[in-house]
Amino acid sequence: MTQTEISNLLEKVKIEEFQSIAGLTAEDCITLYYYMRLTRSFEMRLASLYRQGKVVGGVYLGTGNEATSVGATYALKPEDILAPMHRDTGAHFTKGADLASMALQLLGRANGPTGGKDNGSHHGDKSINTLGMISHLGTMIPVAAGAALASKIKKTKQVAMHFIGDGTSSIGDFHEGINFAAVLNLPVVYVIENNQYAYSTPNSKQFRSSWLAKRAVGYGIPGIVIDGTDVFEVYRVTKWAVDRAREGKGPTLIESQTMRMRGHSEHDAADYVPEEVKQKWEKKDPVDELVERLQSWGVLTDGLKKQIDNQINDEVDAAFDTALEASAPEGSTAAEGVFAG
Amino acid sequence: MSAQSKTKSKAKKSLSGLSNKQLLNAYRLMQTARQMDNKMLTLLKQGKSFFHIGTSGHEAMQIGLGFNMKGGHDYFYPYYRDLTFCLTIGVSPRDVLLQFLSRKDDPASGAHQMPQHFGDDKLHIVSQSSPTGTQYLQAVGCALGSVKAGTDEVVMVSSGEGTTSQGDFHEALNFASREKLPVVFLVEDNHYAISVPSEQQTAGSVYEIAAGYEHLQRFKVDGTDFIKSYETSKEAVKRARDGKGPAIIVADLVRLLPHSSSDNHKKYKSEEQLKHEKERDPIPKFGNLLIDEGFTTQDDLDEIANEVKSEIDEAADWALDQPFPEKSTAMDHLYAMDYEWPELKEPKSTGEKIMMVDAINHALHEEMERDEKVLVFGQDVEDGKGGVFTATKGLSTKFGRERCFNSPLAESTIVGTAVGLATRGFKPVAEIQFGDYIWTAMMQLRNELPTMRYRSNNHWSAPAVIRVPVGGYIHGALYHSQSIEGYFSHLPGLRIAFPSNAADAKGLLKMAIRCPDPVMFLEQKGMYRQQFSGAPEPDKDYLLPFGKARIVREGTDISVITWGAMVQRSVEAARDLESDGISVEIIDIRTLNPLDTEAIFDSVKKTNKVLVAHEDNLTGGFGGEIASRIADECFMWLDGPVRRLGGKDCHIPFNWFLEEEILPQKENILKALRDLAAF
Repeated sequence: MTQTEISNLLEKVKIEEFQSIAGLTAEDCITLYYYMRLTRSFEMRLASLYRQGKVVGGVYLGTGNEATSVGATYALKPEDILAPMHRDTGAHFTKGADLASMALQLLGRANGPTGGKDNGSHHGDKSINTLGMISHLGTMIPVAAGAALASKIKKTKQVAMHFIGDGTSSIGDFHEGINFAAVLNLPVVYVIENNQYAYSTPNSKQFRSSWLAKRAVGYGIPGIVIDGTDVFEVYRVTKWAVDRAREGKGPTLIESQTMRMRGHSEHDAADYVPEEVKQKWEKKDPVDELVERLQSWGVLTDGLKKQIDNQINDEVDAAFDTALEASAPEGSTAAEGVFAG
Repeated sequence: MSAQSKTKSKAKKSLSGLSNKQLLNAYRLMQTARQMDNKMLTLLKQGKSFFHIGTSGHEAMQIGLGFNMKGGHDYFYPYYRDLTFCLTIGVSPRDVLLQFLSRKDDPASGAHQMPQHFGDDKLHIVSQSSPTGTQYLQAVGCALGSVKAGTDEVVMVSSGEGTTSQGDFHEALNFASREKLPVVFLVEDNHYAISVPSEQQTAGSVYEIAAGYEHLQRFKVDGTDFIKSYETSKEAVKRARDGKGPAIIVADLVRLLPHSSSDNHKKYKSEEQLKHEKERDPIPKFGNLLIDEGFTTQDDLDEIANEVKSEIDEAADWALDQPFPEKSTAMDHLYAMDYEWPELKEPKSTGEKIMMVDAINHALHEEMERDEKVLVFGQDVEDGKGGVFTATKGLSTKFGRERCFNSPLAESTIVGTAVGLATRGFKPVAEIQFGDYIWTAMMQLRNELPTMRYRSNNHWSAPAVIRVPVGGYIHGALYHSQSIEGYFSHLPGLRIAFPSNAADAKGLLKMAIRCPDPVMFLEQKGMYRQQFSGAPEPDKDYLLPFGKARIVREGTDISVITWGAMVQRSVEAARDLESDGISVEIIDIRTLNPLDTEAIFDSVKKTNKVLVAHEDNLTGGFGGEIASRIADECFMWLDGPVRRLGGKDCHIPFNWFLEEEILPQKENILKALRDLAAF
């Protein structure tokens, strides 16, 4: 759905009482709902295709992470640079990624963004300034700093945003990258998506600090902890950090407390997560919470919700239909692209 | 000690709990360190050695810490500027000069390492390498050893402020703080990393950076002030010894000499700055304090200096008379020299057919049962997950989380702490989750793990086992498919095993765990649960020595030399060729280091034609080495070119059709063998 389409929808409903939240209009709120619901629906469809044996390789979902992924990215301008992680389908979409293109990538098709060469979320899109990640976590932290350094040198006012996991905070690149960004006062925002588990390793086996955001103090930059299941809080704080970065005030480290409502990947039953934790998470579903709030404010009526949900279903159907019908790459092209052609 | 006996009786009894004798000893140590620097620079100018790196300006802090620790009890990872510290805990000027002059009896390295790379097994100074930063994680592993052994030994590790920009510094602080380990980190901040000033190095200050780690006690101190350095160290060491967790001391001090004898600091420090640094020289500062407080007189201090000078001159003359090492010993202690691989034996009994991953799991269970020093750690190795491939399933439940534990998501931490634990007599069997992710540990794997025995001249060793799932054919794309043996086979000092079936995997892994050298144990993850690689399980006493290839299949026309995933594909290709009347012999090398060249050459001499096949991409693959040795040793027996087959020189793509194109298949082997047969 385009922004205009969303605006058109809104004209049909009367929102009189709603003023604004976190500086966001009713239209923004509906847009956030659209991206969060779209992310959830797209990923659930992917999981179902995986179970049908139509997706090869691992499937890593961002269920529980939508508010962080969407809310933080919503604070960026189109020219800003986004370096998402593997649970950030929501960030890709919010930055403007094409649904069919995502589906083609996930199914390893010839006309996907990596032409079937890499899998899952390991892809970017130059046209929307999204950098593709690689699999090993932490390596993109200095890369995001490098992208921000380029904006600084070129004086383009572009801000770089990079998502990090809680496990990623243990790797040496985390220290090297953030120290470097801080020393050079670079326009970059690091968002730690602390979903409590790095595969099967809980926070308590990863680090000793109560909050990872505390690390920021050491680098002389702001460190902020937020509730990553509340899209408005995510947006409010990341917007502040993005604006700050754009004004030349340097990097910010945000720790978004979120949750991984599914296994590490769809082949992981996550038996190591205690039952009570799983139940707690289920009650705090960020998409459900947003719906509840928007409905209580009268912003999202049942009719409007139905209309948006239907549209999302059609869009998701269309994307995966395209991808499922698309052809696989030719074997003869396998070694192409190691160097400039 | 004439200087002390002459000390005036009106002197105060003590300062900060240090007796008159101790205080004068501190002064003597300062003089010794300073004059050692000067003497070594003189010897350097005389062409007696090739490198010097100084301690001058750092003396007060190092003695302050050294006074609070016990050589031969605590463990030490001093960096190249810590001459004073080493002298304080018991290293003699003679020992230092033996290394400086690269003499045979150098106790740190037997003339293998550069000067000022300290090491002393009796004093527990763990052999030091040059890439500064690597020592932190080893110190953390060593401290983990203290906790696991239930002792009160504290571990000291130091570096300059520049090194704190390395990722390993963060990883070490994180792990030490997670485990509340007895480590004292000393950061000797002399404000210059060679020529780079600290404001270009660190955002804020190292003291501030260390703020985000709970249970890590931070101290800031003027490291040119001996009394303050001593008091701060006392608190930090006591806290660590009492089990209250790690401490970091950030000492503000001066580097009075250039970075090393290869540097000229006048190129980047102003006259004024050099003058200012000289004013902070800790030795006159401390000397004046002793005089002002009535502990001594200038004459006595001068006498100490003179005595030290004669001692050092004498030590240097002695050291110059000592012999250089024999050239014939240049390769000594690369591997354990007094070790012989056991004889190859058939298993006494065999059980039911098991898959390769289960064989690995059983080997780990049996070895942990046999030897309580065996520790298993890595990412997600604990139950409920039990390893992402279930290779470590049940270990934490059976042997406790003290012996099988999750590491943080940091490969350098895994290998670095394994090195530290191994030097303490533990047998770490660490898991890297995927070979594709091993590269962040490359510094530890290249410069530390395989060099420990050689660089310490057999005084220290690090016989850890690093298990790594590798290889493709699982649609894992660029980052879950890599073959890594080509890189690591290049490293001297590292044993490499690469089993192709369950029985070999069990025998080789059990052998690896008992091997006195570090072992990289490669497991082709596509074969973990593959029927072809399943085998009847050998008994628990079955050990497969390294360096013994297996003749998988006898033949008379062509030899295939291979390993890992290509064994199965070669066997299938050989079966297909039977109907063409081509008889193929297949040799599975099983270990790359040591390599069973005898078995390879015997086979080639019999068949006169050879194909070397591996999954890894062709250029720089280990097959090139084997082919070259065959060409050297079997030229007269060859009836055709030595052929190689490997993956294409490309990254491994996700899409299954593309993957099939890049990784070698049975059809590629068939074609190569047919070509060779027709040659």
